[in-house]
Amino acid sequence: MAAPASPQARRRRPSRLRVLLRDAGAVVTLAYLALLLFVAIAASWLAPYDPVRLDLTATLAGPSAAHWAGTDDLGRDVLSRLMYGAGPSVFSSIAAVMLAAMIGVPFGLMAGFFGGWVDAAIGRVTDALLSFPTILLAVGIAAVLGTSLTNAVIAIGIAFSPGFARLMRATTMAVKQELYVEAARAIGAGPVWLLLRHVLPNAVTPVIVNAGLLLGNALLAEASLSFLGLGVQPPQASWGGMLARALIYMERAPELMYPPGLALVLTALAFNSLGEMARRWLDPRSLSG
Amino acid sequence: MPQNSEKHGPSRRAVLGAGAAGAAWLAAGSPAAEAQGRQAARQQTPRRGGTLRAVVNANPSTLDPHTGGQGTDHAFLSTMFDKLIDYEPDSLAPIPSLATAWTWPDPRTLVLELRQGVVFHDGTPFDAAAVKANFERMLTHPRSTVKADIAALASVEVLAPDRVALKLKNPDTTLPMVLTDRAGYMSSPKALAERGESYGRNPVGTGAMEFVRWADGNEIVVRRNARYWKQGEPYLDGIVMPIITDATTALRSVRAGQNHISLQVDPQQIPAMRRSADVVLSVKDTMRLQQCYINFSKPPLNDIRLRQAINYAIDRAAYTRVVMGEVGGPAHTHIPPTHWAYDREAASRYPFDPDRARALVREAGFAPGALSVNASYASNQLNAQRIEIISSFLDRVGIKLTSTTGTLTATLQQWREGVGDFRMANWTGRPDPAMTYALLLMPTSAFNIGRAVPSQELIDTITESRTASAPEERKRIFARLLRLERQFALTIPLCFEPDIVALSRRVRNYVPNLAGRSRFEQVWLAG
Repeated sequence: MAAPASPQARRRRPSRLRVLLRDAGAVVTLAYLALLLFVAIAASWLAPYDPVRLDLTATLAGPSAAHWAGTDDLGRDVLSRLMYGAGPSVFSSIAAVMLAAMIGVPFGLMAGFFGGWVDAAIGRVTDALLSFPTILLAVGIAAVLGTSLTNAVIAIGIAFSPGFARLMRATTMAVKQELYVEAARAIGAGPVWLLLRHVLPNAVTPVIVNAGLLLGNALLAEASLSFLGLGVQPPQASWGGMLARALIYMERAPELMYPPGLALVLTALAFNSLGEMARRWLDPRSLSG
Repeated sequence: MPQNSEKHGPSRRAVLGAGAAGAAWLAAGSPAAEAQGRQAARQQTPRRGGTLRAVVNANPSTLDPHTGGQGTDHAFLSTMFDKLIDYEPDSLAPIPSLATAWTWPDPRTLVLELRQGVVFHDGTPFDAAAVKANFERMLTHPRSTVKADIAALASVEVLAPDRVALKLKNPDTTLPMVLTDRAGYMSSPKALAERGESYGRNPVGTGAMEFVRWADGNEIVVRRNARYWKQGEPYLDGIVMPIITDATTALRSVRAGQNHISLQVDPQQIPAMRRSADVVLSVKDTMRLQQCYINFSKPPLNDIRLRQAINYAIDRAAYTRVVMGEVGGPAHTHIPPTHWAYDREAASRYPFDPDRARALVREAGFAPGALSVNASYASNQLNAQRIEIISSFLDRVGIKLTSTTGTLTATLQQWREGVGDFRMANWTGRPDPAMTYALLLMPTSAFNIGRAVPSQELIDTITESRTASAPEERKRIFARLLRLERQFALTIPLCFEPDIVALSRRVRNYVPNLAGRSRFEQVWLAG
């Protein structure tokens, strides 16, 4: 029986959290991310070995009771390095996306709201940045800034910011036509008040969804930079760095590439589905559909 | 005055035989196959005919020996050109080639006796006038890349059609070894004059093979020189040298039977090669070594005790095993063990001794963990691996290692500006070891980054090594030089990199050398 359009019908509609939890994929994603976060924070207590301690007498040993994921080219425990590598990977992708949003959102907001020459100037700069492949831009910036994890985060943040600016500009332009904005303007609100009080809160949803979807890309970008030697510096562990080292030993010890490779694939997948969940959470239409 | 003549030197054939026996032959598959590989290398009756297909990794910039600069060019050049002086493959001691003997009537004059009856591929005779024309071009050509090698040369005097005197500005006894390098390749003066700027695309030498064609980035083809001066050589009808820049692709083409030889095999590929039945590997140590320069002009490494501590702290055998797998050898000096200038005493100066290293660090006034040393290196996985190993060895003796890394050019620039206490980089070797040590340690050299005087005695010994000419005397001077360098611990030698070449089972008489320069002209193909 179809629910009649009454106040009760609204109450009977399932909560957004319930809808999410009914989705097995979402539960698995959230569980994986919780585990990952726990490992990333508690690596130093959880890891069975010191991730930078060499044992040159036990190099390239396959999985065993003592080393569940084997040892690498320098006899280090692969599982411990995987655990220690989680922190830089996860936190740097979050930091990079936040930085990208912090750079991109204000510029997009200004471009969309003021239009005219402000829009033209910001538009040309974003066009120029967008004309480079993102990874190439990040590699270029990291090479100029010097090699460290912080610089890699800055590089990825800058490289991802034009996307945010574009998105923010488009939604701002739509929102500023809304009647409530017109009304606020009519009663004499200044541009700063308008932007912060009326435009930003109503235009920010796509940005949050975009941020969720970009996390996976940022993770891969950080891994790529570390793979190229421009991110986390040895002997510190990072997934990209472990993958790069595994490449040298592809013929002799192919098993070395699976732990960091799988960790990257699973985490990128989890970040992507987190972005998807954010979209559904924030957009009520998609829940009912 | 010392004299090296053809009579005293070993014969060409004896040298080739010894070289083949001395090289390590790693045959793929069973021990029987390995034995077969060794036997094949020694087999004495060469088969004539056939065209060798030998892959080279880079397109040359030019085939003019005196204006080019790429290391891989020698593979092409040595098929078409003879050098004035050649070298023994294992010790790199000079042996006769176009020059049959050389003498030093005085420290500023080197007289070369030239081989008679040799003709260039264009039919013009090789004689003293040709040698003079070649050297004058090397000194005056605007794009000459050998000017620095022959910087001591003032003029060339023709004494007779088969005798020529090189007059020097200052004594420099590295010259005979310099003539085993680019400066020793002799071009036809007629072709040089006629072809001018296009000579580099159409070269004429006296070598075993004549130039046929060069398809840019694709292949270089040479054919048998019927008038070659070495009796009965070459055995091949010709050589096709395909240019394949990717070493893995080149290796695959040999496994597939498309080509016969592929250079620069990665040591990590060896286990996979073992499983391949169609390929034999030739592994030969070279003068190229992994090492670190030290900035000994500033604290903390201006303290000799700390430099010695670092040299004691590193287990070179373990380092080599990890970095090179089953090939390569630990380096204790910049001279490999089979080289004529090697000195055993210098090489045994720093055995792996962490206790000694710890004691030296303490003696220098640092509590364990209080000393921090900064390493400069170009960011790539191979360097990262090497630094991680060194870092762990230093950590064990109480030295903390920090690093300055980035692109090759950026880190080199920083190193020049005084950033970093030591820098990890390969040393590719020089024709004469006197050049190696002069470049590494003289305060005038760019490689001595802090421009400090390591020790006056050492500087004097380096100068002496360039003025002495008798082989025995030079050997004694080098022993002293190597021991002094080790005593002051001015570098950190780590390990020698081998030259690994993949050969099809049909290839015979491939002779690798300590210079790491592949040569194909003496090869023959089994049926």
